[in-house]
Amino acid sequence: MRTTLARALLGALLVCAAGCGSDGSSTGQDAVQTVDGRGTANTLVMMLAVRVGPTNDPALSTHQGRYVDFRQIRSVELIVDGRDWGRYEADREAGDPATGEPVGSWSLHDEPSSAVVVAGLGTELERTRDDLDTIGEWAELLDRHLVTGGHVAEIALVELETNDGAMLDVTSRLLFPFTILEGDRSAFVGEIEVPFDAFPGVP
Amino acid sequence: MKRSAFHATSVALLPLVALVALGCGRTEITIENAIPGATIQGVRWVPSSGTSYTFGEALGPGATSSEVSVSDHDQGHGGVIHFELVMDGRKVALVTGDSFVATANDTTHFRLDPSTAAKNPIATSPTDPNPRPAEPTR
Repeated sequence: MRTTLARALLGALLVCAAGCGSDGSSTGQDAVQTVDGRGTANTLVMMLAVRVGPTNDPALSTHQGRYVDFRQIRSVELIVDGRDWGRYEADREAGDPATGEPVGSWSLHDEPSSAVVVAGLGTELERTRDDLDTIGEWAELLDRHLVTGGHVAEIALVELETNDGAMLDVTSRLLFPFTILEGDRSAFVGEIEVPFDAFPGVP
Repeated sequence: MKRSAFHATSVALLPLVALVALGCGRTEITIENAIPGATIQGVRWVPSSGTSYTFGEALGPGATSSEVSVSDHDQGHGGVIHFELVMDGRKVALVTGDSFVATANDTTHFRLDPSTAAKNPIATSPTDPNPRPAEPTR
């Protein structure tokens, strides 16, 4: 049931991602065309779950293999094909509404609790919805896209927020290969589990 | 003897006079693509009169167009440059935010570089109706 709900949400998000600008505004990406008339992908979508691993946190030591509530996943830092793409906010609304079991500073689930991350591959300026004002900024935008074929995404960092409001960065360096097919405007990277091996700095 | 000398001097000066006559009153513009890694194509300079001066060739990085003659009534007037920026198989239509002025009786060199203000009409609000003047180079 949960998986069905998550997939339905994901499908809706993919449609939204492909047709961005639904508020009537147009982004820089909307203005970009390909020389040969074919589309290129400019959005990555992933479902991200954080799994508790071996930890020195006494409150969590008996909870290995459980999952952090998706609402505690704040953002993801993404590298694609070895190149920084930026930090993307996780969607804290789309997910299983069930609350997790409070354990220390965390809410934990027995099953994956996945946050949806939609990573539009525009420039930092475009993501912040600033207008692109110079030729150099437009050139940077043209350079940010994914051609048909194989690529590798790296989840470099996941930012978590404890129930106390403290922020914690988890580095992962996990690599996820994905493929852009002909005509794709967005790509689903996958359902990703990031192991959470330690809780440094969190009481 | 004197007549012969006068004749010889006239013949010698003729090319110079012709050169000056050709140079005077002729207003031309060129466009330089100073955008690293990008080609510009479909380049048009559109002064306030509404006349469109088209540069036929696509310009690779560092390339300068051939000269295009400017009509008398557009001399000394500013205009925006319309062009397509092409990189890695993708392109976007842009209009400069700056206004470029064709200096009368001279060849004015318009330079487009990464710092040049530019907008896409559909991605943003309409271009500023009062574009600020760009610094022309000769």
